[in-house]
Amino acid sequence: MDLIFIADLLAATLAATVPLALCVTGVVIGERSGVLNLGQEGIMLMGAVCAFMVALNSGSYLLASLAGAAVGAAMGAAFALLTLVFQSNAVATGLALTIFGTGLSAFLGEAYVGESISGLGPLLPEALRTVPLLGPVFFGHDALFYAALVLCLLVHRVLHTQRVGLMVSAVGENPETAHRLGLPVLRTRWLTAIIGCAFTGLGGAYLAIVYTPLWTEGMTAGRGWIALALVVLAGWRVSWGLLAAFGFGFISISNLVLQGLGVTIPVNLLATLPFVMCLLALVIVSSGRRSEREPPRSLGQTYIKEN
Amino acid sequence: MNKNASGPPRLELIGLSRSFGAMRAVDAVSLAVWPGEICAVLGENGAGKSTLMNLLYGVLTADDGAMVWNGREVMVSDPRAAQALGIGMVFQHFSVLETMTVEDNIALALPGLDPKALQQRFSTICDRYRLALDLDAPVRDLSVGERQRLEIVRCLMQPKIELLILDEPTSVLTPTEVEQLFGLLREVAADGCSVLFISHKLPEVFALCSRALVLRRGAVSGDVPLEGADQDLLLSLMMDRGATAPAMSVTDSPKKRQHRSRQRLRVQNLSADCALAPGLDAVSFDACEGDIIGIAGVAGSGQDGLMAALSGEQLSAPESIQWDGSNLGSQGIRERRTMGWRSLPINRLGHAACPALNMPSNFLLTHMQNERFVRRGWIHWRSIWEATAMLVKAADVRMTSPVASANQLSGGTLQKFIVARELMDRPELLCCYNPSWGVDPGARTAIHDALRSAAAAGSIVIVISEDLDELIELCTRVGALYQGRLSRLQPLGPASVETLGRWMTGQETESAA
Amino acid sequence: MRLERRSASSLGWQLLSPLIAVTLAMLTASALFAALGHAPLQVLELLFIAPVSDAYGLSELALKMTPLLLCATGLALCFRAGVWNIGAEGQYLAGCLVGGSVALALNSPDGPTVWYLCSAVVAGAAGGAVWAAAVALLRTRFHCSEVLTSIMLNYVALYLLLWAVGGPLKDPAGYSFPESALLEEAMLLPPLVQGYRAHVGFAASLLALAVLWTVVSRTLLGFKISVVGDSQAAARHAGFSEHRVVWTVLLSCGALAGLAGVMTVTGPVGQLTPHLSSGYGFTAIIVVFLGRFHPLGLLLAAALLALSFIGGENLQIELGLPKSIALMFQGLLLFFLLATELLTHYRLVPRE
Repeated sequence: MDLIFIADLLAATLAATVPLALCVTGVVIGERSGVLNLGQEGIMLMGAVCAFMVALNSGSYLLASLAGAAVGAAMGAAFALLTLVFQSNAVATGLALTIFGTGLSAFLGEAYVGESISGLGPLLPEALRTVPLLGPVFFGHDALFYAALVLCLLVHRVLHTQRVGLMVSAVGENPETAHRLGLPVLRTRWLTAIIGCAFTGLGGAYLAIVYTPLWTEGMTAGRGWIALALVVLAGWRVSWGLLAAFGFGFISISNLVLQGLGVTIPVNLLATLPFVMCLLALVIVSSGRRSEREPPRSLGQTYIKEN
Repeated sequence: MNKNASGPPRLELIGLSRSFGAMRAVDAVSLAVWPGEICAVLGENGAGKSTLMNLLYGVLTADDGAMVWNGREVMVSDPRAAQALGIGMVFQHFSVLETMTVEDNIALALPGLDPKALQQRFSTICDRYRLALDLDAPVRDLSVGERQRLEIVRCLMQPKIELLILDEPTSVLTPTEVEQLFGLLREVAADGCSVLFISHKLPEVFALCSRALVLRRGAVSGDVPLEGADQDLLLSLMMDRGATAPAMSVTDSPKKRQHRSRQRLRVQNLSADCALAPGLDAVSFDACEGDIIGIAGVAGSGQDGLMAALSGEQLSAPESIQWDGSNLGSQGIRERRTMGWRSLPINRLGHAACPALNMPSNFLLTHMQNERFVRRGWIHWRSIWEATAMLVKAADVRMTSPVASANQLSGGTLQKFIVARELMDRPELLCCYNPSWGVDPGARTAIHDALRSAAAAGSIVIVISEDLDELIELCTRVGALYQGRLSRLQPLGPASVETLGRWMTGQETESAA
Repeated sequence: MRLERRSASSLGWQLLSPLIAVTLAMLTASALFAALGHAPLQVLELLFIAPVSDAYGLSELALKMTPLLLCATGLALCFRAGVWNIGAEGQYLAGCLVGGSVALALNSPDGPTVWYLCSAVVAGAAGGAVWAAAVALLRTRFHCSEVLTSIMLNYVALYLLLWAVGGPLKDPAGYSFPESALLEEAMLLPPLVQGYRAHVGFAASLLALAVLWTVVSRTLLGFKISVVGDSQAAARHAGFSEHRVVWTVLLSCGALAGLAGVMTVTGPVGQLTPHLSSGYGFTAIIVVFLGRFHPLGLLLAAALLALSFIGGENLQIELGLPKSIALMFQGLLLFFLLATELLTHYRLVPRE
């Protein structure tokens, strides 16, 4: 194994990290305010298919990314409407979103299976990209990659250092108390539900227009669910979530690693690896729970405003 | 009315009303509060005091009536609006966020204040009123008294504070802390802020307030200047007509009989660890047939641990709990139930009863071992419905519908049902925690009568309560918990409340040790 | 307007809200079809009426209802206990894999085939139960959320099945398709009526439903399940173990889902293939909600959703529409169902 191979692996891992990282960030935004949305898989698929359709028809990757985020936001709004206004069960509503998103994305994307787009080229100038090792690892990526990175770090900053982040945590810990302190509980949850899902939709968009870049039915292959588990693993913090996403990005390209090492494992057995690792991680995290890793106390509970 | 005040009243309410379903919780309440006045809002549990204050603070919205603030009619649609007017509220069950620091808790309530300005104003207020509070401390580490201090400081730090509402602030405090709080409130009032002090305890009201507004069944039953006022007059204004047994007279109740009968329960060196609250530290006492044992204490002194250990939800060393000479400490709740032990947990909805299940199901909850209702795993719903119907009738549980679920009953109605359920087959021992907390006066009397007659029939009743009046009214012997340790038990008249107050702060346990 | 809690849940709305949800879902679907340029009535007819217009269609309906009903019965138990087992799909696939493997190992035209078949069916149920036991273990021993663990196990089961049919269990005599050998005639479940595809598994699913009804309404176990689902502290107060209830419902659900799996393999399909499930385990969740946890409701809901599967295939053949329409319809249905549920607990009162 030489350095160039390792550099290639790192670059591939980083690219594979982006969709998960966006989705994890989105889930953290929602869950810190107490919004438990299990519809991530469906939202990601919808983001992917819509972004792919827009990219293919308009040729604009900016428009396509925005479309992915907008569709995610719309589904987040639907979720908020059901759980916040109609006070439906969060778990069931999230499942409905996943089932609906899976069906609708397959329906919309039927005509686009087999079509291909060029994907986004690298953003940075040649001179940077050819810096030995660092170049291919960090500077060879596309514009959306860097935009996603910036967005995630921005969310980290807002959630963990700004007053807005404090408000979100207050609403997530105890909505009744937050209301009595004068915080707008429902408005906060509407916003976090919508913004969080926009991130997930963007993650799907990245998958379809940059990472693969093509559309196949069910192409997210469980990434939405993995993201939900990674958030538990990360203790509801963006920074740890990004780290966890990187780890699972690496696992998702493990076939490349093994190829490089000359080991052959049936591809379907290898495909169980991320899920088995997720289960292991959940066991480790849940059995050694520390206080700062506690989930937001009101997570998934229906909030009924006193009036 | 305070005739000396010039200008309009700080706050005036005109015919404020609020209903929940068919119940009128606040019924056409009119009142006026003047600047710098400390006004008491008196009333029994369930008289509508908390609802009224929640209306003032915008947590609830009124159905009818008007609110005039400094001479101008206002609408308070949510707490934010109330804060903007200059109203601050200290809630009975604190509104603090446990996972955050004191500073975060303050910053959340005060938008547009940068950290530096916040720290400055914090130290100004703390110095002004000589309050000790650490800005960086995590709230989960604060004692109950400190949490209350945090809420008060937070209110005082508001850009404008002209009315401070305190909902039953003394229920969680020791007598010394109560004195400190009163001093603080007098200073706050002297600075021109009006104070609404909600309580059901007359001596406190006399000590602090200049005027009392008395509520009964949601309506104003009196507006009395306190100087030279008669306690009995206030009592009669508070009391529901038709409610028997005035709260304070204890001399003629049957519990004071002197003869000691057979000793059955012995608790010896009972210790337990508890996840959050303090555990139990070598608690010992014993009880005889017909005893009503009262356990006082400031909230969080080990009551949860004692309740769990006595009910059997948490197991302890076998010999730490003995019943008729045999060891019961390691026996679970089912085994104890077959011995005739029953318990009434503090939390009615979600612990003593299943919120979403109907009353027959909730009846079955603690009668699963009864052959009459369950045979070889099969449930006899017909006999359960019959037994429930009898119980409901006998205990006068008023339900809106025979299929109503537990969460559709009022707190008092549900508690009456639960008490009747546990007393149905004459328990040998009943252990209850705050049995009449938050129920209306009628239900409270009914529950107390039921407990007394159970004891008269030979049961042992253990009442853990944060309500001293309740303990004094009911019990043959009373002790106090302090940091998981129990004082000695002794018969108690109204005169020895002071003693009990000292015990609650650990003064007896130390001198005894 | 404001919402006011009803003093007792409205029975009328409990019955009415699923009907409203179905109507709204159909209207929305029609609007979508119209927008796509298809006559809505024609599409609805193809979806819901054409498939059941003859005896063959009814048999197909029973065939599709079998796995849905079995999974839904198990899930109803879990959901009643507040155990959010989303893993019926994985438990179904585990049943397919384990039961199918045993059936393939015993595959022969003669010998005591009835016993062979029975062992395969039992193995399938056991496979599903083991898959669910993992969820139970993770929840009771390690405090892991059953939602996430059961979902992860779905994917693991799926990829294991794909691996098995493409590797160890692949038919050596077959072409390059990832499929196992075909089961012998004697290793298949007998049909309910000669000449039709619906098999005895349908009777088994009805039996499971009847047992569920009895357990839930008449036995102490059923009562304990409701208590745990409502409040775990109340279960402690009553004096029984919440963990045992969690294990019971998960094992039952796993066994039923596994049964559904193996009965698909030894029923209409007759071999192990990558496409043994059309998402029955997920659709069964909708069946439970639409059927309001009531056995009769489950039966009707299973019929409607089975119909949406068959109708979806119909649309694909007749109009060339993708069959994913079925999934979309199911998602919509669940949305509307959840939204209308509000009205069973609250009523709208005008604000003065």
